[in-house]
Amino acid sequence: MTRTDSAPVPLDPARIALIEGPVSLFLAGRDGEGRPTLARGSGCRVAPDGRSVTVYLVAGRAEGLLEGIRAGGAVALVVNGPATHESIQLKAAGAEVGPLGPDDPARVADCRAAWIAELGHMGYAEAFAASLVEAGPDDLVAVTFTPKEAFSQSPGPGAGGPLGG
Amino acid sequence: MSLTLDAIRPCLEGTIPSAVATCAPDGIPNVAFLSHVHYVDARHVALSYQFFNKTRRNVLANPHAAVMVVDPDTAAQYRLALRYLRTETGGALFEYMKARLAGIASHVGMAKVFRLEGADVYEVLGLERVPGPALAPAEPRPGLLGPLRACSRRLLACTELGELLDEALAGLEAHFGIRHAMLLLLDETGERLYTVASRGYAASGVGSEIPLGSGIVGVAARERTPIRIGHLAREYLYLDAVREGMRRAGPAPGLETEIPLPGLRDARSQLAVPVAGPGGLVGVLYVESPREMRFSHEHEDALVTLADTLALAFEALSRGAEGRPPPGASRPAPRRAAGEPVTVRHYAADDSVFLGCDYLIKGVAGAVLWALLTEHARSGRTEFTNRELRLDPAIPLPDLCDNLEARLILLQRRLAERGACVRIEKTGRGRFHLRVERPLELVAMPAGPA
Repeated sequence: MTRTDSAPVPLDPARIALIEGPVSLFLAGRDGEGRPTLARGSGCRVAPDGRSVTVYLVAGRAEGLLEGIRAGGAVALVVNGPATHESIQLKAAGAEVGPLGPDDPARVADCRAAWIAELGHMGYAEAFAASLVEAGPDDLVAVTFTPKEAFSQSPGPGAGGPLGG
Repeated sequence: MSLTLDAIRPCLEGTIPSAVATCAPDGIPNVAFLSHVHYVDARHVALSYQFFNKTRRNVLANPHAAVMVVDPDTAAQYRLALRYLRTETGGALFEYMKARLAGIASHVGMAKVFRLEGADVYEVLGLERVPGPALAPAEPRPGLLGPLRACSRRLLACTELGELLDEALAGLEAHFGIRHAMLLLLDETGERLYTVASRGYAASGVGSEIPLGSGIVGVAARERTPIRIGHLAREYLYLDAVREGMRRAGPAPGLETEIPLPGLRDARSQLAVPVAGPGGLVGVLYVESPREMRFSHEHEDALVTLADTLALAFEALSRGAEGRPPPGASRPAPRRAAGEPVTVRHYAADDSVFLGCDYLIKGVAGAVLWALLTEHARSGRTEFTNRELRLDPAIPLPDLCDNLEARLILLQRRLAERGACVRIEKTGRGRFHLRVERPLELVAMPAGPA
């Protein structure tokens, strides 16, 4: 995998649509001991200028990851459209952990509903899909980062290749 | 660790995609989706290495990894802390994962994309339940120890090899509800397996053959590993794989000597288990179902254990089936066969035997039949023993661990299935009667049927 230059990756509308669509998403980093760890995201949003991404995590399910991020660790986000297998990974040297903003609970609810509907089309029961991403607003934190690199992760030999800016 | 890998094996069925996180030496993480996490044993899992990607590059430099898996029934999530140990590019684990990957790839429409380069084996350093809601399991599944016990008892009650083979398959249906099953035995060359018993098919396919290494059954035999696939895997389908193996083996001979195979056309679940005892590989027990994900890790455990019992019973009953020479005085006078004579052709090249124009059997079973018919034509004898066949130089049996008794069962069943004018009937341990109902004209052909 070739590292792209370190300029922020402005995400194009198609990438933004994928990331904000009904996707499985995992955020990875290092835990307090420096070992890799990961957590499932409950949704995400891309800033209007396409330059920063916010992932919503249930804090209690991502303690090691959040500890590592707060200590200045780098992050990697992978998203995958369950029906299309289209998948991309974004990386950043660091991220900010904070509380949800005023618009975020509604955004999380939208992500959750879209995810449940998408899995429903694939034959999964609503209760099953819901419990994977279930969270009360008080449990959630927002992890925001500016992607420095983006890679195609769609299955195949091209997986891992850098995306053009 | 208090939570064990064995306790979360349903998460490793590949139903819900997993994700793996790794770290480069500079601390930059990488995260990728995984087709499945393969259970190796209570402390190890294997991940599929398909492309030389960042995950692989990372673990070669920094062996630590983390994986998230989901229970397909309850949606409970688990995080595994792993340490990379090695990559296997051949052998039992590799072949098992390759077959499973083929099923998963076909299931998700990636049949031409997924290709296993290696099985990356990891030690499980830690396992934690990710806090969060979980659904109640749908309904408690009955355990499989009871069915296993019942089947095992049935096997140990058998006194004859033919009975043992049938009881194994009958027990699977009665106690496990497995309706489509077959038993294949390794032939004397060690390069092919032949069907000796089947259950749940329109035609038994007894006598049909499969090359070692072809399809799920052939690979399970060659690698001595169970293989379980929960989705339609076209390239491992028993029927298709065997046809392909036959096609590659060369042009079809001039005379048809292929017995149609049993098997479901679109099996969506397949499980092949080697039957091997102290004497080595005996054959393969194969079960299948039109339903997806029909067989679980527990089914694999149960059938592997049952196959072990079957192998031991098979070896014991094979050893005991020698028989004594028939007492000459009590030999009944042979009944004179009536009706139109039937021509029996024997091709020495492969010991294939044709009754009239119909192919019957080849190999050891063909040689046995030809020896019996030749002796019958010479002396009129109808009573025989396994022991004399074993000593007959015309019958090519391997020195050790021969499966003469199994070949006799095959021959007996094949004759009965064809409604042939020649039959073999067991008359005691290691003894049998040759029944000839039509006059026979024996013709020894110098060359093979091709």
